[in-house]
Amino acid sequence: MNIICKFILLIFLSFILISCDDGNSGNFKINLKLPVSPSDISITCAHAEVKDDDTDFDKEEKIKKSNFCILNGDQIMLSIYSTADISEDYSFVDRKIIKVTNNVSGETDFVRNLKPSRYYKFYVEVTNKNEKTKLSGGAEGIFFEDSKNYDINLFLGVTGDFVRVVHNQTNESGLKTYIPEAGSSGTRAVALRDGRIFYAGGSIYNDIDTDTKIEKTAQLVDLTKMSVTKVKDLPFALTDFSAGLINYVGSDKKVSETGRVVIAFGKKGDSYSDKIYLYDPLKDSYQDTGAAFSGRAFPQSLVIGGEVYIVGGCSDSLSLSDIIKVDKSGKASKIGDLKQGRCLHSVSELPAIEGKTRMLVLGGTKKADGTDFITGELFAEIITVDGDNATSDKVAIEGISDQATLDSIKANPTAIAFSLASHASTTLNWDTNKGPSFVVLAVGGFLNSEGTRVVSPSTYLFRTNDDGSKWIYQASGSSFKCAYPSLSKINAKEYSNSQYAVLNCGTDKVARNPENTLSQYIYIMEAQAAPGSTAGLSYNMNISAKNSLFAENNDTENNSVYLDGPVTTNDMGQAFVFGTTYIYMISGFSL
Amino acid sequence: MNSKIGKKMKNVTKLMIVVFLLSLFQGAYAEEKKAGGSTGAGVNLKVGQNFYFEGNVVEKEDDQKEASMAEIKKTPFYQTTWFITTVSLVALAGISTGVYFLTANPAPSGNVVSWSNSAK
Repeated sequence: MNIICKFILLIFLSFILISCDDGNSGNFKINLKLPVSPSDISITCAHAEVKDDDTDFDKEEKIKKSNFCILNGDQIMLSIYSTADISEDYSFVDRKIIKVTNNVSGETDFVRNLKPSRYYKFYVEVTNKNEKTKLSGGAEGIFFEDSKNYDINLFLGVTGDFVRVVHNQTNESGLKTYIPEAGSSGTRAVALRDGRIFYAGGSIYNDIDTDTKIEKTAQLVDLTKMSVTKVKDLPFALTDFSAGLINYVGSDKKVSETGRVVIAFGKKGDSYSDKIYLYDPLKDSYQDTGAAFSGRAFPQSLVIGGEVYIVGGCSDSLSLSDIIKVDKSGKASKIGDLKQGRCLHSVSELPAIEGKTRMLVLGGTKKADGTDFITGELFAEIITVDGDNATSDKVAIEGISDQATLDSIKANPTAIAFSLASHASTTLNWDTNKGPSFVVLAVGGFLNSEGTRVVSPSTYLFRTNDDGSKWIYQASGSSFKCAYPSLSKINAKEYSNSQYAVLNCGTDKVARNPENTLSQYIYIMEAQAAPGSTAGLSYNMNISAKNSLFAENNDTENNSVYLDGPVTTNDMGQAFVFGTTYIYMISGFSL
Repeated sequence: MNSKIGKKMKNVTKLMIVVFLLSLFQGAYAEEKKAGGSTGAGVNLKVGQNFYFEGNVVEKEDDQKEASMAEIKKTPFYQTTWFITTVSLVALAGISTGVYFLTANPAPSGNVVSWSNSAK
């Protein structure tokens, strides 16, 4: 009888143990983190609601401020997506719309339907009373297990504008990187598949010692933890390299949750790296791909279909024409050559034709110091990739009269050869009937003006006519000068006439002088399509830079510029811009 | 925080289970024992124990006294196995429930979205 009693007691205790586990796990808490508004607005969120008896000035200030707050009458829409296989697209799971009823804070449940052993993506949009999306942000690649509790942050940025990434609205200092408050250069950044951001290397300037040293530091930004973590150093100090992300698939066919970062070439100091490394964020380790190439700086990387293409690069004596592909297994191999070796050029994705990947290569120089421009008929090339082979062909662009042939330039020596180097480019695509299928936007850089290098005063847009039979370009004047810019697309709304890209302007001087102390300027470039009347062109294009809520599009609390700060965009169409010390987020207009 | 409390609760419960398992090797307080003499089954309380009691005393021989006492002395209800087991179960259930509610999360928090506008 005693044994029976004790057995019952044992069952009872076991029940308690099990119930403890059940009750305290599988919970998922999402903390919405808000950005700091421009410092010239002193109104608090609690008083940011516009009232009828406000003065016009107060109304305007409150409207600005309200973009950075979650206020009474706003709606928070939480969209949940999941996938069992990280290599597959996420599918929609559920949506929760939360009505905000005060100006202070709130907490509400969302449907408890997360399934274990699946990857989740959460996306939040905050709309105001007029249903305009003002704040948005997301987190992805979160593997849900029922036995754990989750407490994550979801940082919201102002849609279509930049904000400094901060721990909270009262902590304006934000997440800090290893890049000091002075003119540094040469760092590269890549958004991982799980939403974290890897950045590494660069030429770091110390304005106290007036000294420059090349870094091997690498860090990871995790917005779900609002943290910056130092990871394993690069194999050696490196700057002016290229970086991209492959959707790594191991020999066991398992797809990496993070992808692997391809770190290619770069300057080591007095010499150039001839290595291509893969960084594995899961193992925090670097693997030499073993590929043998010439050392170089300023190669360009482009990610297409989960593979990385590395194009060109220069050393002191060589302008290299290699087209290198790093496939999903991490194998790096040369697949072709450009017609002209180059560096400080741009490479942009073009729509594939017959399944063949295509890229547009524009401009650049033959020397790593940014001299000896590539002009004439070799200014632009189109790379076509067919499996593991690539060919590159020069392309004539109508309107660049002196670009047709070298002979034509010789015949007209007074003509200024069309030249552009150190610019940044990206491809913008429109939904059907809303704009051209694509344009290549090229911003900033410098050009050759009668033997003198000057910062480009124009923004260029390259595209084909409707039937694709010829290339044209369009130049628009810019109010800003960006000698070493970075450019990356952000998401636009579906069926929008406009497409957007984020421009991290960098220095306005051709010389990458670390003592340049300009402020950090960030621009959202808008390319707007409108029905056109020109024969062969269904759409006219207008390019402009949107005005930021920050005065003059700069962070007044960061008065030293990152000379060529990187920008990277994650899978959710959010861009991250690196300035000196701080990181900035630009939310897309939709997921 | 939740996981810390859950871990603490687990440890407390595990400790209770260990104590319980140890108790399997110990006799219950009022475990029945075979009588010391040959008088058969029954509680064989020895002289001098607190529970010794005799009523309607009839003089007997000394060697008959223990057997007589065993016969006269019925085990009190509070020393029975059933009573102690029941009380123990109730007490343990009470303690366990108390520990559970003191250390566990106030309630399963479920899936929650929270936000706060901090004053600037």
